[in-house]
Amino acid sequence: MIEPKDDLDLELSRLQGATEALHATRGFTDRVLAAIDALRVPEWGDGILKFGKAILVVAALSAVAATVVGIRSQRAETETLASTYGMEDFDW
Amino acid sequence: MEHLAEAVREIVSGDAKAFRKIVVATSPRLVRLAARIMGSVEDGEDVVQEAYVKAYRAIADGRFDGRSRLETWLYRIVTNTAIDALRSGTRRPRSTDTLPEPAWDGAAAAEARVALRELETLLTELPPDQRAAIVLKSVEGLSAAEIAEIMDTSEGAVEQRLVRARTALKQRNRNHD
Repeated sequence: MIEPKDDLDLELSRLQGATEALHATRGFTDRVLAAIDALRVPEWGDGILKFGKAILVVAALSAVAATVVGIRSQRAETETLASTYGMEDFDW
Repeated sequence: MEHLAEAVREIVSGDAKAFRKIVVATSPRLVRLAARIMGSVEDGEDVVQEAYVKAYRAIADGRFDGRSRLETWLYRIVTNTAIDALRSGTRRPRSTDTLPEPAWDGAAAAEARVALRELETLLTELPPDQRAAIVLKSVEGLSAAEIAEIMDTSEGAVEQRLVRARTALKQRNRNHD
């Protein structure tokens, strides 16, 4: 069943038709895309920041690894020298 | 609207420029919707721009799952952004107050702006959610089920808002007679 339209329905229906020609002002699409571009700049900045942090972490880990390797090789060298010295001493 | 689904895929894969296709295809209807809810084209544009920024972020982050159509999803974002803007009172001064009239863009558009002011006057005392509901129903021509999906609520809640809005508007008209 179709309900009869009252004055309010008729008024809203008239305003619906009368506002159909509304449209965005000139340059609206470009303004939206500029806002999107502005959004993407911090994304790039964030990317660079994250990349820099990753590099720092890798560098720190490399430094720790190099120190450990250095200490181990130092110990190995000392032990070799000591054992050699002992052998020489034994031979002598 | 397959080209819009394709545009979404392009954005997800990093081509931000594909967003232009979405804006060009959807902005006429969205700006008209937002203008009708907000009561001015300028406020409507602000709302739609903010909604597009939210939509772009969601698409680029992969948060748009495609369960609802892109247009329905954008309708939802615009409507909720408009309701938030009405609640927070972040609206530009009306052109009759401090801003110059917009540039002449044709007789039809000028008449439409006059009608928009009439709509704004009619709906001015309604709370934002009732205002959005009556625009979606009586001006945009959507069903209660579609409005419920857009406003993320039940059909019953939509019907309740519509009844309250219509009662308030009829009371207002009686007071003006």
